[in-house]
Amino acid sequence: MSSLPPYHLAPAMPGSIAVPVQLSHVPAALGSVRPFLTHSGITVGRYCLLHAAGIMLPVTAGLLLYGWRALGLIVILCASAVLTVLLLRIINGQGRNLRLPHVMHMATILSLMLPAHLLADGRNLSSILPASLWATIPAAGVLLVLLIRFLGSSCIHPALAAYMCLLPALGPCMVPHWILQRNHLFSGDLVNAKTTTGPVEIGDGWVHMPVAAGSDSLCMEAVSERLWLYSGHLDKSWSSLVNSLTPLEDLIIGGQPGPIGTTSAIAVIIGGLFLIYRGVIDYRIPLLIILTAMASFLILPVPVGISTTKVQWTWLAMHRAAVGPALALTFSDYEILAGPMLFTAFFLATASAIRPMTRRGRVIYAVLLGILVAICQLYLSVAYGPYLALLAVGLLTPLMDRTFRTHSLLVAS
Amino acid sequence: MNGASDKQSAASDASAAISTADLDNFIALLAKPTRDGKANIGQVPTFEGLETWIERLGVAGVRADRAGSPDLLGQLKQATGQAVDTVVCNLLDDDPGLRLNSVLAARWGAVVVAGAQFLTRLTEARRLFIVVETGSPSGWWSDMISASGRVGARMLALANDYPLANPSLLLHALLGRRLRPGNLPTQQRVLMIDAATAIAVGRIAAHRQAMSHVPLAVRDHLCQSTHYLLVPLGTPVRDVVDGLAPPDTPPSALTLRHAGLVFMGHILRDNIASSHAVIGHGELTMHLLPNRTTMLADPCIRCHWCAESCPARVQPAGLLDAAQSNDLTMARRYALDGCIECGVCSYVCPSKLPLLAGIRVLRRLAGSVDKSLERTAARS
Repeated sequence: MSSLPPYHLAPAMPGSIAVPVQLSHVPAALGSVRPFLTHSGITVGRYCLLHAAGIMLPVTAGLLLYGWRALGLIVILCASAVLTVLLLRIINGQGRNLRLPHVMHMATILSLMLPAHLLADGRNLSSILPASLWATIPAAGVLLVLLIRFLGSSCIHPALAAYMCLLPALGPCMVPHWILQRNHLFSGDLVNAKTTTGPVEIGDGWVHMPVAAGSDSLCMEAVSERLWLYSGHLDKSWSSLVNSLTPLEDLIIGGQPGPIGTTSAIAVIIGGLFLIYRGVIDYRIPLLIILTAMASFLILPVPVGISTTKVQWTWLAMHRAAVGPALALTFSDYEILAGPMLFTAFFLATASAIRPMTRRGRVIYAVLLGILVAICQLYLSVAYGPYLALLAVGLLTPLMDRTFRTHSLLVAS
Repeated sequence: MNGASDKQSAASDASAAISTADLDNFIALLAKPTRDGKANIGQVPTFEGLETWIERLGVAGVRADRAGSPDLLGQLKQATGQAVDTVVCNLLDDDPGLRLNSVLAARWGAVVVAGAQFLTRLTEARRLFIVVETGSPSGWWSDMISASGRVGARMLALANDYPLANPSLLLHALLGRRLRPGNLPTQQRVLMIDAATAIAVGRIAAHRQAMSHVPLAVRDHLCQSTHYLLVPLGTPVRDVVDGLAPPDTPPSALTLRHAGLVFMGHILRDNIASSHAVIGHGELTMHLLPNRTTMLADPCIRCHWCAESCPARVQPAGLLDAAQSNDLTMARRYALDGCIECGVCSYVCPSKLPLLAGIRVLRRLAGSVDKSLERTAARS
């Protein structure tokens, strides 16, 4: 018996004969010790963890750029959401349908959409802000859980819905102005700024700006605000706009005031690529959103000339001699990098409850979303335009699921 | 040691049942047509017509009806009315842990070719494809390569990703023909067999040997061992399970074995056999697993992994939705007829939804509806 290979144990059954076969190698699966083969082991919790792993990079970038207040905001929001679920379970047992990994994932996403200065005494920031500004964070957690319960797996993203509820309620408090200086990354206090009365001149941008002594952070105007002032034809001319913006490098690494998770474009892109690599999200959606939005930014009318009496709107501004292709592309890049468009494309629009189920449906969905994102950013708001666009296009998902179906490989349609 | 020597001698008897000389004679005979284009019928085997051989195969118990080798007699009967242009000898193993086809082909490669070639001649098919797995050691196929060269069969190597061994998928991959799952390949002018069927046909053609044993591959997950056996037809599954237990198995472990689940065929197909079932012409691979705990399903999270991983491109989540509402119209919209029941959707579903079970419920429902429609039509 000892001469027989291990996979060739002699049967003790009467009438059966061991087949004397010598395979050149033992298949790897023979050495498997996994007791259950009927499921891959990727449960809903692990599915959410996969998403969470992709979002860790924007979280890390946010913690570095906005310090411990960002960490506190994320922790408080997640904790309040979890506590709400547990309370719901205790009170009436209705929280049993809510899965804690899913709730925590949604809470993390919502916290990344908020500015870190919400965890501060509002009176120290501005005379118009309330002292109890920080109290909105646990309230946001409670609101999120209630929305998850209410919306379930509908075509509205619960974190997006919670953000849209907070936006009118908080108003100017949602506009970010602060960012840590380079020598105070993570450890600094976000609201210990050089000045709190108005934006500072940023010169060569956050990366090359000299470190100001005596303060942990800088107070400046966000690029998204400047872009909105321009495209809302409230300020500046075309050329002066582009010249007054912070360098694109700052937007790529996140050196500008903004929400915790959406500012660093490179972190968002790498996190999204990780999700694509793991097969958790469909690459078509972010790719088509970005490409369509970029094309739309180049095509849609923008105010090329603004005077006190007249605003000159122009389609395809890149064909105008005063603008040119290079300037138009730069403007398009700023629009893409300044707002939460990339975050929306990689982490919100790809959510399983929102995106259509078929490939053709996803392509249409992404193209529509890209166009609407550009429209909303140009004419409504750079800071929350992509969120509005996603809310609108998400409502079409059930229709796309009904319209587009996959065709079986083996049965002719 | 006595038991081992007995088995070795029995094995040598079995392997000596078909001698190399007989086989060469058979292959040479099959490969050598007469002047009028018909086979030489002066020696074994004789080509006495398809109907005669269908009867003969049936009397000798040569049957097959499993995932990789659909109903042999049914295919041959259908071939009497519809021409067959291709015979496919499917040597792809559904299960990488139980390579029964590879084992048989490695040991009796020439017999496999001979049996397949015999069926090719019998059905007057133009070509014989022998499909093997790419990347497997070339030594496995050495006999088969030389034999197929002699009879003019074509060997094709395919990347064997589960469930490519399914007849519908294999036909689509090989010939681009769409075979509705559950239908016989002869509807698409193809006769499909696996190694065990080819050997059984070759034996009766060359030696008039009835089919009394079937090869069986068993993966015992309780003992972490794999067995390749020849089992008498009609052996109860329980006897196989008991017989494969190591001699020093304690009673508690035996109880665990008896309480275990027996999966016939690939484990993802979820075909659980009762202990009273017998080994027949169906699936020839078997998994013995401990009794699983109940899996609690979560609500669908619309991840769509089921549809993205489906090799037949159906929408299992939609089908489950249809099963819950007993809606056959919705089920047909989501391509119920295209499902091959491979179980990949249930395997990948994060919510552990009973997708395969839902599809089987729908199939039963569709079958009963079709029957009632037929009855109504017959009455009217």
